[in-house]
Formats: sequence, structure tokens, C-alpha cells
Amino acid sequence: MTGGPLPDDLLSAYLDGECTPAERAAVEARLAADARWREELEAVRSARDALRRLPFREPPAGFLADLTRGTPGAAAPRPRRAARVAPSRPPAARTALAAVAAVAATIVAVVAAAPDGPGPEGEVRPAIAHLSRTHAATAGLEVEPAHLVAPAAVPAELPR
Amino acid sequence: MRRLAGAGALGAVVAGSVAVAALVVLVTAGASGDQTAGPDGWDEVVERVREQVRAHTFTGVVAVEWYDGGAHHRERIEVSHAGGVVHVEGDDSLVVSEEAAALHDGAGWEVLARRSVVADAELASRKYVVEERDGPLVAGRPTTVFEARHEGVAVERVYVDDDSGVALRRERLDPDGRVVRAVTFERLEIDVPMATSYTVAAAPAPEAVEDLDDARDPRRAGPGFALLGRWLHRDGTAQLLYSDGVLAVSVFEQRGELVWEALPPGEDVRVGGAPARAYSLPAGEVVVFERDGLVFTCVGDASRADLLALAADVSAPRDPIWRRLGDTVLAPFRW
Repeated sequence: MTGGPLPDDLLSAYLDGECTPAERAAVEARLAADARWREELEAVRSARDALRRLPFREPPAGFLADLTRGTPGAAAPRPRRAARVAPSRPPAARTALAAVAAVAATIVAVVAAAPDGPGPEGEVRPAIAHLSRTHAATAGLEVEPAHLVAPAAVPAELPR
Repeated sequence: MRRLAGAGALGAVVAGSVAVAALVVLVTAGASGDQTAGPDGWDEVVERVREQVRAHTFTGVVAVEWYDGGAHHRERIEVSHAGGVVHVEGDDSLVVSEEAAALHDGAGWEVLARRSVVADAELASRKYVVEERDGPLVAGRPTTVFEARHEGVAVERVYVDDDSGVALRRERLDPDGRVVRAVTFERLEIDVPMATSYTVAAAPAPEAVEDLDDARDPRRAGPGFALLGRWLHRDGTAQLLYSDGVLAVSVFEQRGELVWEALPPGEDVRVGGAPARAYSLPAGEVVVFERDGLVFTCVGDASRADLLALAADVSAPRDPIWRRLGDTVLAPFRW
């Protein structure tokens, strides 16, 4: 690699979106200049993709609550924390560490009890704006990913 | 009918490096270069888009435009993509992996959609002819335009970057050729290394199902639309997704009585003789109505007329069981 090693955890922080703008720029410059760093990044990405293909599993009792408690940024859209600087480890260890991080960040679906009955009856007040966003997200998943899904991020303003 | 086991609450962690993908659209060019027709032309366009979605990383700014009556609306949002994960940052955050789409609206995460097995891939692409021609500059890049036409009328266009294959603009046209809805990259950076991750925990999610109790879900409806999937949402709302190969419509069904006073003002229309109210929103045309104790909310990028026709078909009462059984028994003898 050129330019000397990056701080050990900086790449992991970069993958987690936790770098400061300056750190991010430094990592991106290194990635642009050094094929080995790009390879390492790709290895982590591959691990993440493989994990994403894992099937959904029934969780043990209490797992969901533990998961929620153990995820500090669970309710935040873009959780960030400062990148840590640690003693240097060999690339293989770094890759393994990143793979573990990918495990933590990959899709984990927790399936709970199914709702009973055909649904609520009585008065219906359809949440039109929300349903329209749900449609955009569904169409983006099922038909064409990038463009169709974009309107789902735009809140619909209905007249009152 | 059977409902699949499971589902209800979903705790999800959607993660991914974000750099982004390009939507490469490659359609076999005709000899003249300005008209390519094929029975599966648009299918091929979409399929190659999906195949190439991981070919590039990208980040940029997208403008979402739509018309509501005579009023023009425009919202600008940030979009990025890498490794199969799309991140859209508008007033709210949207993260879309290959399996799920999750929204954070300021209050918390919600999984809006989960991917389902496509029930009927034989879409009505034969309904459309694809034409190809040189396009204008979009985001400062030269493009090629692919246009889906039905009975000689342009319905949808995709503008593809000549250099990268990224789809830079997608627009929906009305029968008079006016753009009524568009999504356009105003700025785009391709293959710029970038990464981030997203955490979505304990979010409710819809369940993909094979059948729905007490729902109306014909396999075909409207002008050439086929049923692609069914979902059951946590609150009991059933969702059906229809497509004609180019356009997509969701039908949401809720059992009960529609509270008309709770609906926002809109345009009064009729669906199969029933009163209905229509709207134009960023995600498409919307029509809401009640029929036989079911409240239907139909949303999609189909034209208002096609949406109403589809809504009428889906909401129509089913044939009596004796007639459906009779049709099944007698079908082999009808030739």
C-alpha cells in the first residue's frame, strides 16, 4: 500500500459511515490510489452480500428486545460514532473484523407472531400519503430499484 | 385460502456500503437506430437495468416532479447506491436493499416493503413497443432515450447515460405527450468510493403471502395488468401489486366502512358505479373508494383512466363459487 497504513479501525469506521469529513476524504483518497485497500473493501462487501442472502430465522425469546437495547442508534436514521484509532493489525485480521461488523450490520429479520384475523373492521380512514409511499417502495423493489423508489422519500402533502 | 405463517413485527438491520449503482439500459438497436420493436423490449430494458445495478457506485441529486391538476410540484433529494443498497435522503430517509425498503420519517423506522416472489412474470410487455433514439444532455451527459409506446402513443421514457449506462431520467407521459411525472438526476458522480451503513431495528413490516383471506385479488385486471405479489400489513391491510410490464399499481384493501369526512379534498370520480375520490401524489395517481364492505386505495403511475379501470376490475364482486367450479370443470372441453 502506498502512503503508509491507515489507522487500524479507520476503514471499518469508513464502511460504517462513521468518519468525520476529513477522515472520509483521507480514506477515499487512499482507496483511489491504492488497489490493496480497494481489494480489502471489496472483501468486506462480499462478506456482507453473502450474509444478506441468509434466510430469515425465528429468534429466541427476548432476542428482539435485546437487539433493540443493544443497538444504540436503532431509532436514528444515520447513527454515527467517532472512528477509533487502535494498534495496527494485519490486513487479514482487519478483514475479519470488518466481516464481523458486516454481520452486525447486515439485514436481520426478526419474525414475531402473526396478527390474528382478517384485520380491523368498522370505520376505515386510509392513510393515503403513507400508502402511496408504500407503493413507491414496493414498486422500486419489485420492478426497478433506483428511480421508482425515489418518490417514496418525498412526503405527500394532501390538501386539508 | 391459506395465509403464510409468521410475520408481524420485523426487526431489521439494513446495511450497505453506499457508492452507487448505475442503471444500465441496453436494448438491441435497430438498423435505423431510431426504432427498435420487440415483443419483450421493455422487459429487456428493465432486466438489464437490474443486472447492471451493481456495476457502478454513484451519488447524486435527483429531482422528483409531478403535476397535481395544473400545479407543478418539484422536490430535490439525494440518492446514492452501492452493493445493491439504495439510500434516498429527502425530508425523510429511505434505505432500500434487495430484500426490503425501510423509511425513517423522524419518528422511527418502518419497513415499507419486502420483496416477494414474482407470481406472474409473464407481464404484458407485448402491450408496448420500444423505440430508441439519441437523447438530450441530462446532468451534463449525453443520453440515449428508450421510449415505451402503446398503440402509437408514448407512455414512458428512460434516458440512459451513453458513457456509463446509468439511467439519468425517467418520465411518464399523458396521452397528449405531456410529462406528468419525472425523476431526473440533476447531479451525478459515478464510481466515487463511499460507504455508510444503516441500522433499522424493531420495525414493523408487511408479510408476503400466497393468498389473502377475504380479499379481492384477480390475477388480471385493467388494461393488461397482471398480479405480481400480495402482502399483508401489520394493521390487517392487504396490498396487491399489479404491473403491465411498464407501469405499476398497488391496491390496498381494508375491511370496514370508509369515513369520507376523514379524506382530504380531492377530485370526485366513480369506480364501477361507486363514488370515489382521486388525488395526484409524488408516487402516482391515487383513488379511494368503498365497495361491498371493503375500502380500496389504489396507487400507481398508470393513467387516471387505467387506474380507474383496474380499480373497477379488482373490486368487482367475485363470481359465485358454483360458477367458478363450473368454469374449472368445463374448461378442458372448451376448444
